[in-house]
Amino acid sequence: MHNIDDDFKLIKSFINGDESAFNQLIYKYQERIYWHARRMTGNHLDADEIVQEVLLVIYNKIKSFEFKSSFYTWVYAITNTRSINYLKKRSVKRFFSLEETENKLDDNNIILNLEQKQQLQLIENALQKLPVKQREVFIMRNYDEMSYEEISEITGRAVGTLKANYFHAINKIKELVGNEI
Amino acid sequence: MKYNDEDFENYLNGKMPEIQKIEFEKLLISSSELKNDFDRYKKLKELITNTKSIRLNEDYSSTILYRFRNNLQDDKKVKPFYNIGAFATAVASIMLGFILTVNLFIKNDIDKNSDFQSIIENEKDSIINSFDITDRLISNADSESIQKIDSVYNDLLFQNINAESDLNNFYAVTSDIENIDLEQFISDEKIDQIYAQLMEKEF
Repeated sequence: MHNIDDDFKLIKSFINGDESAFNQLIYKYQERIYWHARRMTGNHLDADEIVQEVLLVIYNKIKSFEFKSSFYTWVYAITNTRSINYLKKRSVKRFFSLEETENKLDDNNIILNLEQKQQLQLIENALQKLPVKQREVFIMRNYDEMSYEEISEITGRAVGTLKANYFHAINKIKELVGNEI
Repeated sequence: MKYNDEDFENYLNGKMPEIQKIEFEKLLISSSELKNDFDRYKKLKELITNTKSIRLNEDYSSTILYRFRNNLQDDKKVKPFYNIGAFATAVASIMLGFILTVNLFIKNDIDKNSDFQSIIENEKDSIINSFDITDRLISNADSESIQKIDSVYNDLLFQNINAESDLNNFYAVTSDIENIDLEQFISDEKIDQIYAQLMEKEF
C-alpha cells in the first residue's frame, strides 16, 4: 500500500533539492490527509485549512524525518496533531463567539454524489458529538484500519486506554447513527 | 450467550465458527434486543464503508498542491519585509524601553539624590547654626572636655586673628609702597638700572 522505499527515495531527493519529489509525495498522501482532517473537524473548510498547514509543516520539517517509521505514519501523526490543535483553537473561538457555531456546509462541490453527501453528513454529525480522544480512535480504527499498537505509536496513549476509548466511541456512534437512519 | 461487536464483525466477515453461527442466527430471530443491536452495527459498518470510498473531486484535489506552492511563494516574498518589520519593531521597542526606564527610574533617582543633597545641606546648615546642640554638648560635658573645647576654640581664634593681622599688615605695607615717592630716595638712573636688571632676570 505505502511503498516505504519509494517514499524514502523521494524524501532524500527532496532534501537534495528536487522540489518535484515533494510534489510526488504530496500527491500520494494529500487525499488521506484531507479525509483525516475532515473526519476530525466535520467540515470541508476546516479540513482544507488543516491540509495547507500540514503541507507547510511537512515541507519545513521533512529534513528532520529520521526514517525510523514509515513516511505515512509520520504524516498521519502530523495531521492528527494539527487537527486536534485546530479543534482546540476552534472551541476557544466558539467560546468567545468569534466563529459561528453551526456547521460549515460549504463543500465547494468536492463531493458530487448526493447520497454520499448525505451519508457523509450523517457520520460527520455523529463523530462531532464524540469527545476528541474517542473520535480519533474511532476514525483510525474504522477508516484507516490501524491496529491499536499503530494508534498507540501515533497518539502516545496506552493500548488499554485506546480500547476503552474505542468501546465508548462505537457504542455512542451506534446509538447516534441508529437513531438517525 | 451475550454477543458483542467482535462477534458481529466475525459473523459479517464469515469468520464465525459454524456452530456458533447457527446459534447466533437462531437468537437473532428470537431476540429483538440482539437483532436491534446487530442491525445498528451493520448499518454503521455500511455507513463507514460507503463514506470511506468517497473520492475527492479532481477539481479540488488538483488545487491543493498548487495553492500550497502559491502560499509558500507568498510567504517567501513577505518574509524579508516581515524580518525588516520585526527588526524595526525590536529597535523601536528597545528605544521606548530605554526612554521609559530613564524617565521613570533613573531620572527619579537623580531627583531623589539632588533632593537628598539639598536636605543634607539644609540639615548641615541648621546643625551648624543651631546653638542648642553646642549648648547641650557643653552642658553635658565634664570639665576636662570643656577645657579641651576651650583650647581648640582658642587656637582657632588666635589663628584667625593672626591671619587677619597678617593680611592687615600686608595691605598696609603695599598701600605704603604704592604711596611712596621713589624719586625721594633713588635717582632716575638707578631706577632705570634696576628695571633693566629685572627685565634681564629669568623667573
